Amino acid sequence: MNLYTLQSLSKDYGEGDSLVRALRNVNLEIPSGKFVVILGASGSGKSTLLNMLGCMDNPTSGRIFFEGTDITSYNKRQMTQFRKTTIGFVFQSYNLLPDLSAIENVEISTEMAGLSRKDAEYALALVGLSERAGHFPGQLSGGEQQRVSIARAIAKRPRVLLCDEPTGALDFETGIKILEVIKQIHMEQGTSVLLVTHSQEIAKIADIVIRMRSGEIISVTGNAEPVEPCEVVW
Amino acid sequence: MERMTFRLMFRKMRHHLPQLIGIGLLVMVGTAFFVTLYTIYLSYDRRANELFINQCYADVTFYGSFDEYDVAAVESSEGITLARGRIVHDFRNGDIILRAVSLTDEINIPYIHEGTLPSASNECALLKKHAQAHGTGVGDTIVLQGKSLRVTAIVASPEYVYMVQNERAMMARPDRFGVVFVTNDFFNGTYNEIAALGEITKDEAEIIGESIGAARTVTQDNQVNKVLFREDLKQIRTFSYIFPLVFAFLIVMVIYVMIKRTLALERRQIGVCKALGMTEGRLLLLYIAQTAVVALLGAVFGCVAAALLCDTIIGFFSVMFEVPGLAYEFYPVLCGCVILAFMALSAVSVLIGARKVLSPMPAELMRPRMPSGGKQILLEKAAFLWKRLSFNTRYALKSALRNKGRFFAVLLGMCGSCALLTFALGFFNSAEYTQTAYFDGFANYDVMMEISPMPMEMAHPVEEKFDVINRALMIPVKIDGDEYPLLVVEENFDMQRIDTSRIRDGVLIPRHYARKWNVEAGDTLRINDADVTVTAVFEQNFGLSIYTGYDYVKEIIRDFVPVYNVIFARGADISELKDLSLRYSFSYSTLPDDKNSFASLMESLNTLIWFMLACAVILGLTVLYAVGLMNLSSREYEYMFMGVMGYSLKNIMNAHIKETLIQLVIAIPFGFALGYGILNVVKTAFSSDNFVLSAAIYNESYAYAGIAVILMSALVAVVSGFYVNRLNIVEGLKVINE
Repeated sequence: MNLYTLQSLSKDYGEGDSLVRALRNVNLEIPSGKFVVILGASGSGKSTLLNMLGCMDNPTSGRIFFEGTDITSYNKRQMTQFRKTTIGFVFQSYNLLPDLSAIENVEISTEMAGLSRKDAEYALALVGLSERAGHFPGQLSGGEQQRVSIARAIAKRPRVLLCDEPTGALDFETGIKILEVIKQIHMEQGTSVLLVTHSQEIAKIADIVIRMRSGEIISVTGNAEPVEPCEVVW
Repeated sequence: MERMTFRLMFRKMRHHLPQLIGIGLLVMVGTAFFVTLYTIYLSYDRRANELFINQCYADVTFYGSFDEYDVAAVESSEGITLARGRIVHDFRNGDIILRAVSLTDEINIPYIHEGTLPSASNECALLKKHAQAHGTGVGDTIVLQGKSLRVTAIVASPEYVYMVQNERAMMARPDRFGVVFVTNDFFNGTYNEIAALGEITKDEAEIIGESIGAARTVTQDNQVNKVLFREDLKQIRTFSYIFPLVFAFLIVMVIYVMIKRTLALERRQIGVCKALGMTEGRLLLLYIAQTAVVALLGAVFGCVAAALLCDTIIGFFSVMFEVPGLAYEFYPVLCGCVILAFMALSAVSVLIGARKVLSPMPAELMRPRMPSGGKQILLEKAAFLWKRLSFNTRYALKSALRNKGRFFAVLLGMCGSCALLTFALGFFNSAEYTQTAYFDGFANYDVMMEISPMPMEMAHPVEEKFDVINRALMIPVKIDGDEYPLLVVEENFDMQRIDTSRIRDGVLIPRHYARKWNVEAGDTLRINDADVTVTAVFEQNFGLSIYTGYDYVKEIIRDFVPVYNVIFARGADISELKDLSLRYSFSYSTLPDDKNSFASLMESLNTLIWFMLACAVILGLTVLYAVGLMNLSSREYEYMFMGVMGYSLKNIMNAHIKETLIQLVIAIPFGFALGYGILNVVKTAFSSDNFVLSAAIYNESYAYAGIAVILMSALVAVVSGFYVNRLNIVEGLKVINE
């Protein structure tokens, strides 16, 4: 069974003269357990698609099936539950809560998912930030913040990790390290990863590359031999 | 709430600490005001009723001339369980009136503060307030009608919670009026009162009174002491609500504005929390809990402040009434309800402000907010005028109207503070105005003497002692089942300023009665069993009476015999009155005495006025500062940018001051109107069948209230100046994303 099946998915913003068609009649199947990269230029609709897949937004029309279940028919409470238990998010601008320390940022996620503090500590250790656990986001570098963000996403052991331009705000070396962490989690925990990027190079690490332009899927290709993050250069 | 959410809540509170402190302060002052006055209301109600029950306050008192057979007849009447005859007599000693009351077993028992009740004819018990006023104690001697009496006890009485001689007299000064309880053998003669206990209605009591030939029958509920008690309770309760209501309204406004601003700033964080799986309910709880915690702390501190304040406020109320054991009492239910009410109020305010902001999907919350569409303000449409304004003034005008929530919050803060200041000062003015209106405007006599009824053709010996006299007849009449005084006067009556040309064709009634009975001049009023015409309605503040002439009274009372029992007089040495009253056996009251009594009563209200003024200033400063700070922080970037563009602090502050001026110009007149409105509500609560407070606010009070609000705004503007001056342009421009 596919992880996701998208049927005629569309998303519009605004109305009248200011109408923006962010997604146009997208049909797509994403298999389970894969590292998928959604590639496209700015404004191609990749982030919008990711938001739909994570129940972060409602489509204007069309359906999304997650493992056969129509998640577009979910009410608010079911969508919240889906985000809480099934999805882990990593954002471009980290989006850590500035009033909570690194460990607390992870813990708020595990607490909501009904997991223990140990799960939070384990996730933080996995991204190599145990020693910075007590620091607040303002005291961490961009790379460290993104690692905390990844720890927060994986601590609740989600089925899918949705990463929206996770290296977008980072320098090259730090970006590579982040990709390594994400890849490692994918490999070790078997988590399906959907990563949005505009970088052709980063797409090389994926099992499947979905190319988008102007809200439409223009191609879905498989990578026979994905490269390791450390081999990527951009 | 989970541990992390709880921790997040407290950490977030740091970001708007000044606003939260402001809200806490408003809750604290509102709570302190309400709990203080409501505790006094509850304690007074409880303690006074305990006194009435434990000391067997007579349910009905008959006035007249009685013997033991009459007492027995009353006691055997249906509904009466106990009756006792007694003698009550007023003795004047210089300026002091001492009322001697013979003790009765098991009815109207004095409450002993100190000592034992008298057991011999040369002993007496003295009412505490009079004893205190003269420094008299147990073992001292007082002189009554030439007899020396040893004081054996200092007491309180259920009949004299208020120091009032009778229905028509002002509340007496304790140094001028006292009650002395003596044994029966102090007096010789027949009883002039019968006090009885029992469960009977007013009508049943009157039937008993008629059967024993009583001149008057007064049930406990109609006794002036009990009437004043009920009215004071009502007034204290009304007062307790006014300030907290204004405070509550502003608390809602400040929380609403604060939460809107906070949520706008934390929009992205809210989106993140929702993306992580936090429900809307939990998010709402996160913000509700912040203000609820502050409301809880504010209300608890308010209750503590009330505990500290209560006895002071009771102290100045005790000028008016005396009830044993009246002191601060802790009412857990009251405190609990107030705390919960303020917490609920804060929660509702957050709910109103936050509900819509929290509902969008996480993706929408995490996107930068669309800038709100610019809109022309009304003045811009008047292009001719708008073009002539300086850029700075145009900026100030547009800024003022950019965030309507904050604009109105500041406006309401100014308006509320101005209203409460106007009300507090106006209340003081009203008391002064009422005093002047009656004593210098309405009353035109020096002394009023109550004598035994005399035929009109007979002159009372005291009349020749005065330059000008007017005779009148005071009789009780019934309207809607209640008794009211009817003053029958002659056409040349000029001792009170009423239009005597109208007394021939009907009755003149005070405006308070007109409102109460819903009649106007020209309407018909049923008095006793007769329909009479109301010929005029007039303002009267004290000793409210219905007035008519000796001719027209025959329409009301059949078989009317023209007599008089009141003499108004002026133009003589009133120091002679003492001897005259003893010689001709009449009671009297002088206008200067009444005026002094009222003035001293009003002086006791000063503490309450200052308390109210302080609350109004706290309210104004807190709201202006809390909302002003939000305004500043939301425009921080704008000010920094203006700094980059070369705007000086002076230019920025000019715009800020212009904006404040716009708000002041709108808020102050509304504050005056609101203050006057509150005063009118209080005026109604303070008015009774014995006393009517006239609402009046002097021009200087309006000026003081306006100036105070302007000064508060100026103070906040100065603080704002420091804030703007401290802004770091370079650092500020780096963090423009929020």
